[in-house]
Amino acid sequence: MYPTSFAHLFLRLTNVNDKWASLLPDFKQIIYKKNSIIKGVEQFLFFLEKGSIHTSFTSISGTEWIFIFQQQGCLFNELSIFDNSLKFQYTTNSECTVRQIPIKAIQSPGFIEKHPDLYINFIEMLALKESISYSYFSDLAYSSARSKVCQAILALANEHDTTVFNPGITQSEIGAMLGLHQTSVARVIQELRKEHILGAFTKNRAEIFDIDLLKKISNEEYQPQPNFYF
Amino acid sequence: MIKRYFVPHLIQVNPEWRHFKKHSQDIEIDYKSPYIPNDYDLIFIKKGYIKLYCKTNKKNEVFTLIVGENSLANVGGAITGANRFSKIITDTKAELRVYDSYFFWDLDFIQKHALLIQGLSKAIARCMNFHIIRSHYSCFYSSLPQLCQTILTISRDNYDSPSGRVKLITQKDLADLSGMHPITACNNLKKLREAGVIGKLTQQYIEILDMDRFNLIATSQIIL
Repeated sequence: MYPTSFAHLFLRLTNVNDKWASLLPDFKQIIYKKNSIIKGVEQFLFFLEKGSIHTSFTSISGTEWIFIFQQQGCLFNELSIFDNSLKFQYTTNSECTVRQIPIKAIQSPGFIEKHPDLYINFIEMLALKESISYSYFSDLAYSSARSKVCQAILALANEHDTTVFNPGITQSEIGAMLGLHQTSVARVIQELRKEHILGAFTKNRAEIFDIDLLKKISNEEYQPQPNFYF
Repeated sequence: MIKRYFVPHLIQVNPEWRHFKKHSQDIEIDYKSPYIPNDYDLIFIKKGYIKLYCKTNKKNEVFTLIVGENSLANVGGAITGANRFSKIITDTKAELRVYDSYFFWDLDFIQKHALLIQGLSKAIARCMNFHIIRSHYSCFYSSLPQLCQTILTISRDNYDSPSGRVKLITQKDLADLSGMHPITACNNLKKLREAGVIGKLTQQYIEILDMDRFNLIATSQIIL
């Protein structure tokens, strides 16, 4: 399980639910091609055996928000089984092997009695994702574009535990997660490079030169300009 | 005109927990005495409602959630051991049951209390839903729809149970719950009032004069 000393912004989860692997042969296996869309449904929990997906939802106004990327060894669609009003969808970033677990099977008291450790793992995963969603609200809501991009870069560095790594995510995908246009993300990255805080930042290579300054900028608070006093 | 009363985000979500008393202590809090939770405290509201103030990386304390009767307040934080609540307050009086959440990792307990455990997952999912909607709004919508969405989330019309209503919501509270500066919230309320969309705003309710327009503004389909 990932460290949870405080709410964290994670952009990608891997092998969070490995414990479920022994159970998988009982469930239907489906192979999806790259760029397939899996709709969130109330009847199934999904397990990603192989490949990578991103979770997103689209609002009434048509904006799509990427919430998180997940790789092999993760359960997904857990929110739709409790409340399908948000209409999540999952897009495959590569060819994916998915197991379809009927929700009736895991919500029966019999399942919990037989597999208490798996249900603990399921709740821990829910708590981790709740922590991520909380982080989006508590930290990003009060941030400028510059601070948001720095938080995302720090989240990636934290995931790799190093300052030189392969982000595996494009600037446009970072924008879709943070509510920023791709050009805003590119502008901030260019500024950070000019200030010698970042070196390269492409999909395949990221170099952080000054992580302390990056942390400092990520904590800068956005202050609106007052135009009315009460 | 519709009068919408302020209500908790979560209410009557976990009635199955009401009679489970092991590993817990009952406490009462009032408006003068906030409760400061420990990392592994799991809090159930027996009576009244509570307001949760959270720690964030940006600000020390932000009013984040209102939880009412028969609901668990902080399952996610208690399970991860990463309690993010800096304090819990109430406007009048509230009765809480505080569990030590270590029992959650006891396989025997899980096997014997399947319904309680399912309730835990429901409570986390409901909270996550609120965070996701708010995050999405804060990332992709301007401040006016954000504020309208908050008002819709924490208010109900024709709310039959006065005991379930929240007695004190200020403009600063609305700003905190929407993730915006109080001045921005105040400017937006003024806009809504001047456009004839809302009427009186008190600490207990808001009058919505034109519900259709309010809903359209909340989803950014019209802009004031």
